Amino acid sequence: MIHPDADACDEIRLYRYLDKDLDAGEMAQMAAHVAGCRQCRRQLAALTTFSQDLRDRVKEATNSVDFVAVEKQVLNKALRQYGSRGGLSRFIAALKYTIPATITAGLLLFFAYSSDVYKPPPLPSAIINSFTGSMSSVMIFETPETRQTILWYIEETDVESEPNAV
Amino acid sequence: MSKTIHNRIVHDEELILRLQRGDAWAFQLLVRRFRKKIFSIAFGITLDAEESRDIMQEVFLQVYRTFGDFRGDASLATWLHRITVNRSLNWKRRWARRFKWLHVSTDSTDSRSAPEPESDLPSPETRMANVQTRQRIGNALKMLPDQARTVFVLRELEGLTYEEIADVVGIKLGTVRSRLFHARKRLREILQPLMEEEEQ
Repeated sequence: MIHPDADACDEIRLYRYLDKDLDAGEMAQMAAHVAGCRQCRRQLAALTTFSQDLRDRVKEATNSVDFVAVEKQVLNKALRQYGSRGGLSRFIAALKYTIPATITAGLLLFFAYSSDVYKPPPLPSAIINSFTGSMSSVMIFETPETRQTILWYIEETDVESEPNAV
Repeated sequence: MSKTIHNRIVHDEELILRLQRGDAWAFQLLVRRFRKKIFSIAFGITLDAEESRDIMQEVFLQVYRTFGDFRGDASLATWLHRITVNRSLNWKRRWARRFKWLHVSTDSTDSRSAPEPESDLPSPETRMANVQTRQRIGNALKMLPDQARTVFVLRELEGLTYEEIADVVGIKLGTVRSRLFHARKRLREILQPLMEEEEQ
């Protein structure tokens, strides 16, 4: 966009001209203005010189730094404080999978052990120590959880003996 | 940007991949590639060589520690510039450091950062002129607000575009223009009397 008053000093546009932040038309217009405006030329010169002095100052400070020593310090500190990042990250990555897997396996083992492996045998409902008489029949009921045996026998009328069958 | 390692050019993309795998060589290359840039940004903001060295180390250690957080949304250079600017501004915010910064004269700061001139180095007149120039730069920059100085340093030292500055500092493009304008306007006000003295 062309500025309406090309001859007027415009500080904003002057700095944008310095940064080449104007379109081609505006750049040409500002160049023409600066060529004929002593005040703008002085401003530009002062800022340009200041920036160059700053760059020289930073360059001078940069040249005084022993970057090799700094590099060694950084590498030593990095490895000493945080260890080998690759090794650490691989270890942490492995833990991401190992920890849930271990917990799952542990739970599975716990339930398997408590339900199947270590299941106590069913207790008998009664214990027959002895009986008198002849056995007529035997029936056995067996399920995964229980085992029941039913005996039928003919009890003899012996007063000394006890009807032990239950 | 690229640099050699084992006599081979390594571009930023490969460097990032190597860093993510924890390659120590890649980290060393990163330090070598960016150390001067990081130092100069830190120095531009703090104007203290000693502190800028510390900031540079802190930046690299932070990068080493948190490289897993780098998502590649910005370029590697932008990410590093961002960390450096934040670190440098944080340094400026520390009261003790600020106290030192405001009260140590430019001469004494320079005596730590620059070697003593030998007899075959610049003449006393040149040296005096250099000292005056340093004082002028230091005093003028110190009079700028932190945010304006940061934008000015990124533009003038690193030659970043307005868009890149906005990305590094995390501000809008218009804010970059505004801060840069105010930095220069303030500098012009500071430098004006000096310019008039020189003309007389």
